[in-house]
Amino acid sequence: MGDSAAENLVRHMAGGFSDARPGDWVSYRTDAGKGRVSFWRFSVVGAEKDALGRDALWIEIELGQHGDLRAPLAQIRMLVARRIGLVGDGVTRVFVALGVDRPQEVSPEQLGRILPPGPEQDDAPMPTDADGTTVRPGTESRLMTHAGTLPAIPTETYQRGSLVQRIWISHRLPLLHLAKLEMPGIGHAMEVTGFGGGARSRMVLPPGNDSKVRLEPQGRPGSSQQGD
Amino acid sequence: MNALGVAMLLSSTTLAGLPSQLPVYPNTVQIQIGDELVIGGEYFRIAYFTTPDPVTDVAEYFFQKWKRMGFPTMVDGHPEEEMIVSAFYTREGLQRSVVLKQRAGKTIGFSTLRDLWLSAHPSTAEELLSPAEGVVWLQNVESRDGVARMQHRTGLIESELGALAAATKKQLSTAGYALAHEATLLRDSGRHQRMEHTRGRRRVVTHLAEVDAGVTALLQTCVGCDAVPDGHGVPPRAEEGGRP
Repeated sequence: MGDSAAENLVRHMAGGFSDARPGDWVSYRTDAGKGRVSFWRFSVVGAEKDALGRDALWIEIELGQHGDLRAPLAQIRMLVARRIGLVGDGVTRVFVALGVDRPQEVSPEQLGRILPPGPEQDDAPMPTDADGTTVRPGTESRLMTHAGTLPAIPTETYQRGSLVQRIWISHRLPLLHLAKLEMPGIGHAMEVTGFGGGARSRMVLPPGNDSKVRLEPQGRPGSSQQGD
Repeated sequence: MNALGVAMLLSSTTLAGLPSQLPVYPNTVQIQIGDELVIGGEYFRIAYFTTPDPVTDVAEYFFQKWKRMGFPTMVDGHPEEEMIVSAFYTREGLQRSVVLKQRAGKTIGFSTLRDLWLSAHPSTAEELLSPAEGVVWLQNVESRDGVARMQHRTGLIESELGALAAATKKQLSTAGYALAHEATLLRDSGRHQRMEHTRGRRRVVTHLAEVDAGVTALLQTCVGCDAVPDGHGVPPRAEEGGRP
């Protein structure tokens, strides 16, 4: 994903989309410092049962360098089980388009390679004072954002007394409920720019008989591919 | 600029598909070349315009316009040789470009629209010369203007002009063509030979030019050669796509 704000966002998405509705959308502006600005849009463009019979949503994610995402640099469309979220166990279909490449579906049996497994996320220990990390939830207040002023609850994470991350959560926002994310130490920030309903798919999908993307095994540094 | 130069210029740049508008520079008249072109197996739409404005001004105009509109945009080349400005329509799989050259105090701009997702079916007319050996460079261009189709082949062949002329005559004679006209010209740059063959309403014009010792440039046009079966034209991309 390239920057820490984006990585945080993906982690945030692993929590499931249980209250999301088809048509919901939310967009963000991320600033990774030194002029590295990018724009994201998340939208729910459909609902259906996945191959395992679970309630699932088609989530479309667009990433680009211009606010209106007229020509995104990356487009991803995923079928995500509502209660599982964006983890290996929750995603059963993925379409990807990078740059001007035609969108293609990722071979479903290989999805586990590109998504984090769910249980590890769930089992991750909460940060505690013992490792120098402190989490301080705040109280709801009014937060000014590019999408207007929203009621939001801040949660601050400190490491050895220094503020590492501040996340503002607003239940007014669909999908991720994320209003703002700040990482002062590295100058990264992410803020909601818009949200609403009525979203429709904007990704041109390949015909059903198109071949699917298969991932090449990644060679380990210093090891030979042969004989592995 | 001769036809070989034009063909090489076009082949080094781009083609066509969905939003069908070509890039337009203000206060110029756009002259479209054919309707749809197939160059090197890719679909293009191409037009040209001229303007008294310098190459750099025209390049800056398109670069800023496309960037402002939010398209990934890039500029390549040098103002004194050739500049190319391109915008990428990532949702539609299209590349919109202008190729700019300075000529006789004017800027000549080739506006192109290239389809990055569709490939053309092989469509070379059997009448066009296909040397078995010595091919340095060979480029096919097919233009479709309504029902009219033209096939162009441009190439650089390591062969004597006389041998290529003989091969052309033999191939077309075998295909049932009659030699309607032939002329040989001696120019400073070398010997040129022009031949025109006909078969019914089909016409093949071949122009051979000595480029260097043992190297010949080939420019061949086949008018009315329907090498592409009906229904294999540019599919309307707007009607494609859909949901799984």
